Amino acid sequence: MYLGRVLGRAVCTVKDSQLEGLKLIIVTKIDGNGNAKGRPFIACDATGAGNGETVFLCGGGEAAFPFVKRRPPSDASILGIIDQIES
Amino acid sequence: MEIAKVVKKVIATVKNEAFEGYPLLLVQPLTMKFENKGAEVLCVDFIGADLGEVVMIMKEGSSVNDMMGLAEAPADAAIIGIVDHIVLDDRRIFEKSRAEAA
Repeated sequence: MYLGRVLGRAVCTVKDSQLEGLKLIIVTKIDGNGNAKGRPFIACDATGAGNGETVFLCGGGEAAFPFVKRRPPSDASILGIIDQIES
Repeated sequence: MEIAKVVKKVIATVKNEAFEGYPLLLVQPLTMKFENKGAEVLCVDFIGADLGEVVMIMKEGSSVNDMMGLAEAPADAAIIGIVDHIVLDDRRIFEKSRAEAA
């Protein structure tokens, strides 16, 4: 898993049926100090995260698991909203 | 598996239910020369590791699922051990007690 920050939303009308009803979120990876890393990408949201929130995500095959009774073709999913990072 | 250093503790209230009860720690993977290797990884902690400790991590989703006892947990990385010492080429390159004293 890794940390990310929500930058915005993407909306698709025509899409795979398994993506129906899922929120598509534009997110950027961040490091533990909140600095953005790499290019922004799209993730499926399983939490209801809003703009600017720090979240954690999972990539790969496990990204399809949070969504009950469906298997969206997703390679990144938001799993949780982070309250606090302690060092 | 690889070695990594625990750099942050991450607290999340709203999260997938599979993560209930497990601490989340951000770790920096290390080479065997103890240089940073690649991006930080967020791990489920099964062991009780603390900030600054050198740990052994595993990045394989199906194995994390086995450890959680769930068929489909959306987790792909876990801390599975705290490193006491490392011997490489007959040389002891890491000693936990010495690292703590320093």
